[in-house]
Amino acid sequence: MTEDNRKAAGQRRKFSGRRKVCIFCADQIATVDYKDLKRLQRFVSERGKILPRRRTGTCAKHQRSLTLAVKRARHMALMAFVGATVRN
Amino acid sequence: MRDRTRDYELLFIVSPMRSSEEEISATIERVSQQVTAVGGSVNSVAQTAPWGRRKFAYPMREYAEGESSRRVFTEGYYVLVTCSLPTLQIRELERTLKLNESVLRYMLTLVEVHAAPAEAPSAEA
Repeated sequence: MTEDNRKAAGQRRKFSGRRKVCIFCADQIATVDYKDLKRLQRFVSERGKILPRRRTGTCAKHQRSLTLAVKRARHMALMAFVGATVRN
Repeated sequence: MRDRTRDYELLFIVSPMRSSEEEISATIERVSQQVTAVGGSVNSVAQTAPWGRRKFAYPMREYAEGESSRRVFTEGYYVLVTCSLPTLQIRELERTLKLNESVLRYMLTLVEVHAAPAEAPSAEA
């Protein structure tokens, strides 16, 4: 039982791969800019949904800043609320 | 809230119904006048490169002058203004922006200054 758990945990670690580093920390960006579309585009799915931290490796602080930036960009019609695949 | 001057970024969209060159410059002029009217100062106006005429990421419905129902817009003229504004006058400026028929939408955001450690205590105060 315990051995099984350990094995499962070990396997999970194998799949998670290397630990990602927050891109914003790496680039020394304090707050995410809503006008920086090129950067923001990498943090939303094809449908325009904000990707979770576990997918992108963003740190908590920058994820909060990022969600705000994406929402601001959406308000100004710089980014879509819903991806093109859904709308058509 | 303590009254002080802070740096802001104002991105606004000029309605495509008012998109002739004079009308755009008139709108920009009017907005910058409103900024100075509330005691602020315009630092820069950008309407090139990523800004200017631009297609929207989605069709947006906004009220147009003299029409009772909203109209669908698919593009607009983006203008980015950086300015210094007295914090207590933000509300007044936003009110004038909302009343401005040529402005479809606006986004007024505070430019966060990541001050040197020497300046940090004054920011907390």
